Amino acid sequence: MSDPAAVPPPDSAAMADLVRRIVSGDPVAEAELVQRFSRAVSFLLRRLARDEAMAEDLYQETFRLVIEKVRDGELREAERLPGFVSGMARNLFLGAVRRGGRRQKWQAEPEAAETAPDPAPGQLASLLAQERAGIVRRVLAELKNDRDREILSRYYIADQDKEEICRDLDLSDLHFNRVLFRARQRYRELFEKWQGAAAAPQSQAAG
Amino acid sequence: MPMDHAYAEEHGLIESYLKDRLSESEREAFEAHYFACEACMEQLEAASDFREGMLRVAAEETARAQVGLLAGLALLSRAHRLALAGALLLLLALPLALLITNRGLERRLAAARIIPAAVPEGEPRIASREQETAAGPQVNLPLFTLAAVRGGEEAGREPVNRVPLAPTTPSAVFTLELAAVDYPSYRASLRDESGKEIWQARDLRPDSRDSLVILLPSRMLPPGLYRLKIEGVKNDRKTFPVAAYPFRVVRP
Repeated sequence: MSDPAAVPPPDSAAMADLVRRIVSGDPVAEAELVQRFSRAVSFLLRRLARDEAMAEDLYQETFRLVIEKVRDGELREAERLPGFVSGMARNLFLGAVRRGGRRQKWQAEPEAAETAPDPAPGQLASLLAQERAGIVRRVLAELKNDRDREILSRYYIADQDKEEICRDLDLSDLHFNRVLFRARQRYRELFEKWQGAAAAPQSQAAG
Repeated sequence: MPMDHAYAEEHGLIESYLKDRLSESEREAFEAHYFACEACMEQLEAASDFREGMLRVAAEETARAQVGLLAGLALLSRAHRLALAGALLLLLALPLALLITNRGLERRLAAARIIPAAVPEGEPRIASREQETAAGPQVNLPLFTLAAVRGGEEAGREPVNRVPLAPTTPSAVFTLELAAVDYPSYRASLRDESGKEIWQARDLRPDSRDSLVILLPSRMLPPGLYRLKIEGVKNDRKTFPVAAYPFRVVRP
């Protein structure tokens, strides 16, 4: 296994510049930091919390604390900014779990329970989940053989290991990776097409 | 520790990350990497979405074939809907149970059963009369809140939890309230009287009321003694016992 530390990330100079500008009090740099890490923070927190409202709370808190600490010069190595942000998000999540999550907040402030968001997924999230499942069905239907379908089922649903599946089905690593890669690529193509189609009527209406 | 893109690709870290198979140090390094790497972020989102979509398809297929739970949801109170949201999560684990209990030759069959035909939504599907009946709306699914045993469990002692299940009842819902949520995820395993594991699921997360809600098909539970064990799973995958829920299934 090669050393993961061998090559520095490609934009470490950009990170250093961003940190320097935040330390010097540049509000544009702070907005840039949020923009740069927004997608990743959101992804990580949704994955950890599995609760939209909790993820949203922690998202705001993550950026508030990261900016505060960077401003105060607590980040000594600027190229470690991505790890600093991801670590902050994860630590805030773990802290929230230890404190009992949102439930404790509503217990501590009973009047806030009236406005507590429903932890069930919202309509948009449900619609997206439905659409994703529909696209996955299409991807599966397009597969040329049952074995590829079985590979995906075993890997994603039965949670079996790659090595175990390859051994059972007498597959090479390459074949296995190719099946997963193609399925994901096709999924992405179809999802982007759907997103484009969903956005088109809105832009027509706007124009 | 910074990680480069080639390393992440070469070692298939995206899939390992999504399956929680990385060590803590690898996971930290990969998170720091994808926070800075647009290509990995995109692949990660696509892989995560695809995985979620696969699980949802499996849940839909399982629900259609075995339980009319989704249609029944509309008839339940909001509180029950919240509890059953957790049950839906665990429905995903049912195909896994089928696979685990039928390792070996049945694996191929079980995996194919998870997604029987991959028929696109909206296209006609062939279903047996039994499946059609099972997929219809169902009300009054039995709900059981199990009491935990956290220590001092005496061998041979009759459990306090009694679960009356009629042979005609398709499924039962079990609620397990955890005393505290101290772990990022949990593992559940169900053993029968002989100690044989008949079901297990991992990566479980309690709902907003610190409860795990599990829906089990009745055919998995003939009359007898069972023990449902919950373990907390730390980020380094080490497990710690949390609670055990012994129960006896009886015919009403």
